[in-house]
Amino acid sequence: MAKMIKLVSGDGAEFEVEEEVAFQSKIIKDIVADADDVIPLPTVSSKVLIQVIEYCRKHAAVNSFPLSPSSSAAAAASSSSSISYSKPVSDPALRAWDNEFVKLNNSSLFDIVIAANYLDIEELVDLVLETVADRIKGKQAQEIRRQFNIENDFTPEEEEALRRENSWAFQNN
Amino acid sequence: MDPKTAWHGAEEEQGIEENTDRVLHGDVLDAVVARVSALDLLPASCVSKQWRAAVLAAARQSPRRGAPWLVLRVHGGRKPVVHAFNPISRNWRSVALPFGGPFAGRDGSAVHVSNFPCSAGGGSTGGAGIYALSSTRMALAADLFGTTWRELEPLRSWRTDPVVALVGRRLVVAGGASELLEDDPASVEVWEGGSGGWALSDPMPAAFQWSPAISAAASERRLYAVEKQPPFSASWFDPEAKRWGPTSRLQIPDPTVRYVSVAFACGRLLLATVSDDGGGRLDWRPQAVRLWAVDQETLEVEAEQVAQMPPEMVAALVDEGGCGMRSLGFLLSERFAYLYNPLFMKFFFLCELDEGGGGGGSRWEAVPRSPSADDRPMQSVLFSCSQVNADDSRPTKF
Repeated sequence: MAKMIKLVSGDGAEFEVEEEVAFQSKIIKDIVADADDVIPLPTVSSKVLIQVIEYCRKHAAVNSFPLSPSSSAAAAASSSSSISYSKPVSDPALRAWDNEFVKLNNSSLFDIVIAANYLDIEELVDLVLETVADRIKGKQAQEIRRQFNIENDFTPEEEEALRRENSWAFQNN
Repeated sequence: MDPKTAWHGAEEEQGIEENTDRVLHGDVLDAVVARVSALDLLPASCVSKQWRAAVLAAARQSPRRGAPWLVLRVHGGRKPVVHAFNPISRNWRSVALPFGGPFAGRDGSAVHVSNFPCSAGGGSTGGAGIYALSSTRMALAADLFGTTWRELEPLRSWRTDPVVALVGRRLVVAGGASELLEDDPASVEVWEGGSGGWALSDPMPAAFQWSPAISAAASERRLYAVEKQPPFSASWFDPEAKRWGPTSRLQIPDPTVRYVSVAFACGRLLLATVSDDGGGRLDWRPQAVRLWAVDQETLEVEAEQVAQMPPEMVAALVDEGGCGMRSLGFLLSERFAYLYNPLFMKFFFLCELDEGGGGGGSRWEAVPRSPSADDRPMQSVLFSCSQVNADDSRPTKF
């Protein structure tokens, strides 16, 4: 019988998950090594924890290898091990599942990436950041504001100056 | 409890937010921005002040953002155009060049457009600039693409194809003066900026008198000049002292080298060499492309090479039809270099040099040409490279 770990969310809900699922989180893996099978996660709500567990369950089934040394996405960006920059998931079926998984609004994605960063689940952090980045690419400023509901705090003069500064880049558009 | 997709069903809509003041700020915003290329970030930098700050901060951090753009200027012909390669998004952009050219009130003389090395330092990141020369009139491109120009005071001598370099804040123009009109074809002029005008200096050493092609590099204090072909005469010029250093012939550890090119970055003078496979004078193929460090005082080439291009990339420098190579293109900015065959532009090779003097490694990447350019364009092509930052769209400042 698979060893079970109990995760307790910030609002007191308890979730029992198989060890290999929970170990997608490097933090949990380290804590359990100190012989502690009940892990309180006060900063993670049950709603978010359910989603994270779903991701981990799916990826535990696929990941046969130990996790690479983790780092936050920003640190990964500064590693100079290769010119190539992102780490795509190689299995196309898994990638398709991931793409479905992230069909969430920005608020939920934000919660998930915070939790995944806290729990040190590198691939989930990458997935969410990449998804949000895709929501920025190719959009004009006004579209980005609408997407993320951001208020424009530039004055009309400042906006005009920015538009002029950047006009060279859009000559052919 | 069985985690199912019940939660997802309620949240399929991506779009209008409700409680959003906590969404996408701080570290998460920084991490997202770090993944988006510089060009895609331009609209993002106009979204709000917080976003603009995040974009500018990211522009300074990622090491990939140190790679310069590669700029190809195809002029002459009916449709002059500029192709620019963004190494971060790995996209080419093409911009039609405006008619009219750099000089107002043309007097009919031919306009010669070429690139010149710029030293790094004082806020500039080095790379190559573009100049235009027509008899004694000289103009420098004010932007990355060479669509706007700044004309300087006229030169003292009528020149064609001089050696040009920006050394610190001084622009050096050496040699190439008309033998018919001028006393000394090898004369050198230095422009100090401001209202100083052009000052005459020591002429170029006699060793360069018959050189068909000279490669130039610029450090903060010196211009380095090296013949592109054997016997590889070399010398340096100090524009502040207005004098040339010792002249010698480069002793390259590889005796099969055909062509060389020099450039200066990160405090190092680098020599790029292409050697042949010994296949004879007319029918040779490139065998190896190497980078070497050169001592800045003595011009001795260090015995151990700095980097070597992977052999499959060397093979891709020429095509099967054998258009061959007549020179080696070498553009360097900070620790990134583009190497290429100016006659065959199917690929350019981007090299990232590791930090540290000797023993550092290098990483190479093949950059395919712009989809709207030809492998072998009929018109003349000018190559340059320059850094582009999110907060400064005009990389060359004078």
